[in-house]
Amino acid sequence: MTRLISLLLLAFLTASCRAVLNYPSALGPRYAGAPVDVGARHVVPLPVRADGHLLRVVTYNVQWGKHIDRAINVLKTRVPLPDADIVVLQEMDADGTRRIADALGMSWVYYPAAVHPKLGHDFGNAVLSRWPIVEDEKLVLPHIGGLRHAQRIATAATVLVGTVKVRVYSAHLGTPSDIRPRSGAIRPT
Amino acid sequence: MILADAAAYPLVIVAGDMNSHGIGKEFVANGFVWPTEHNGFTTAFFNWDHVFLKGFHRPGEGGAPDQPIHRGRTRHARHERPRPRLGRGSAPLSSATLVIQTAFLGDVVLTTPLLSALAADHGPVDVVTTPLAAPLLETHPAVRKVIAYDKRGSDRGWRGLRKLAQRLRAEQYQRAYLPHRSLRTCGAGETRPDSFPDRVFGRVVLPLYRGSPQARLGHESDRLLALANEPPGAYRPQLRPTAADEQAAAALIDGAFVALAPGSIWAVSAGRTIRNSPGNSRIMPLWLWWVGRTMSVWEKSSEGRRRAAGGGKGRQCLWEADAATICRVDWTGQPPRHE
Repeated sequence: MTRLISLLLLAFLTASCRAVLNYPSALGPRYAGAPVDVGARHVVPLPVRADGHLLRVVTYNVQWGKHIDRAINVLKTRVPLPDADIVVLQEMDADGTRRIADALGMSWVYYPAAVHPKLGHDFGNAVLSRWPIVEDEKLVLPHIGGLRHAQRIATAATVLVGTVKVRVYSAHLGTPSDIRPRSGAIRPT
Repeated sequence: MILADAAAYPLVIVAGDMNSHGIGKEFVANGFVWPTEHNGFTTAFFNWDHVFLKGFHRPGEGGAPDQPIHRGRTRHARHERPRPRLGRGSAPLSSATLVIQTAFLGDVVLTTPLLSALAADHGPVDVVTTPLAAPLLETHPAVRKVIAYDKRGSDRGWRGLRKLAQRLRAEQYQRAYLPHRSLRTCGAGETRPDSFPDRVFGRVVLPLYRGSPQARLGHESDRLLALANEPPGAYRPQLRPTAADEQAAAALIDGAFVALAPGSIWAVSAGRTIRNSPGNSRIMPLWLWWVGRTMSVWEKSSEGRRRAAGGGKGRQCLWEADAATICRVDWTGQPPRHE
């Protein structure tokens, strides 16, 4: 009996710690889109002054990219989230990002970092914006996770707010279980 | 790496799940502002989701004060649950404040300053308390409604707790305060779908322990007042007996009488009582109180020796006659008497 329990425990640990399939390339995969439903909010630009850019930023870790409908509901109804100009998402897949972006009427860009071993789908960060996204980039962060060897990335996007460019990063850094220092992910290299 | 890339841009927003709070110092050291530094928890127990800004003004720091940049709203999805009956066009949240205090009678009395402070800020409050304490609060001017929760009787157990939680959730309270530090109260305090644990546990319970020194060391009523950001002594305990109560008391009292202030067998309470007694400016460590208590039991009576040795039956009750003298009585159904 003890041996059986040990085997089951070992199998569980092995399965739960299975290494992820990373996307090491800085070029992709890449997913992006423009808003399908251009509402009045989008075509009427928010007032922007050179000395006082008015932007509302929301960051949202949509755990494992699940409950997309719930996330959309929150972003559309929970004050002041509906006023967001820029929404950055983590733990997303391409389809979920597209759905949220379409629901909010935003431009979007999404880069997956890896294929999540449990979920079986992509796992990455996205930037959504009411303003046009004119550039985007995938930043592959240094240090592989210690447990699952997961690659961390930041999705960078340059948003054109009126005539001003704003660089936006959607970051998802390593967990405390990652032994290596996480500050290296943001420090200048 | 992010900072290196961001160096080329005058206006930068870095946002996301940092899985860390301390990482913000790195950004601040590199010229970013950190508007989400003091946000509440974004996960069960941590504030890990942040926004860092470069080239922007913080709210109220010049720029466009009439239309400031909002603080970054951060959230983990697992703590977002659909708010029942709250969609577009639905009724707004209740503006009422909820206080859950299901501790002993004395704790309820010491909570009345908090009730007064909250009522001054937000209007009359609703209170969940025990059936025994409910009559005390029903006449309190700061209280709008008293919800009796008989945690040791009809509402006992998980079913009663769940029933209470459902009732409170239906009220859609905008804020909840939990002076009674217990997990059960936390569970009942889940008044809003997104309230537990970050709103209730994180913003209400924990500040009791990590607040100002006064909040940690002061009198219980002042500690509770700190939850409403009020200074010690801003409000005093207040009870409003009804005419019937006064009549009953008048019939009971005939001539002079002696009042005894009951303490508790609990070391923490008793220690706190000693600490906060007038004339005792020095704090007595709890372990010292325990040693003294045990020694005094051994010295004073044979009955006490049995109790100290682990024998004895029933419940002891500590009575405080004054700041310097502590007398114990046996509370096993017999009339209180000095040892």
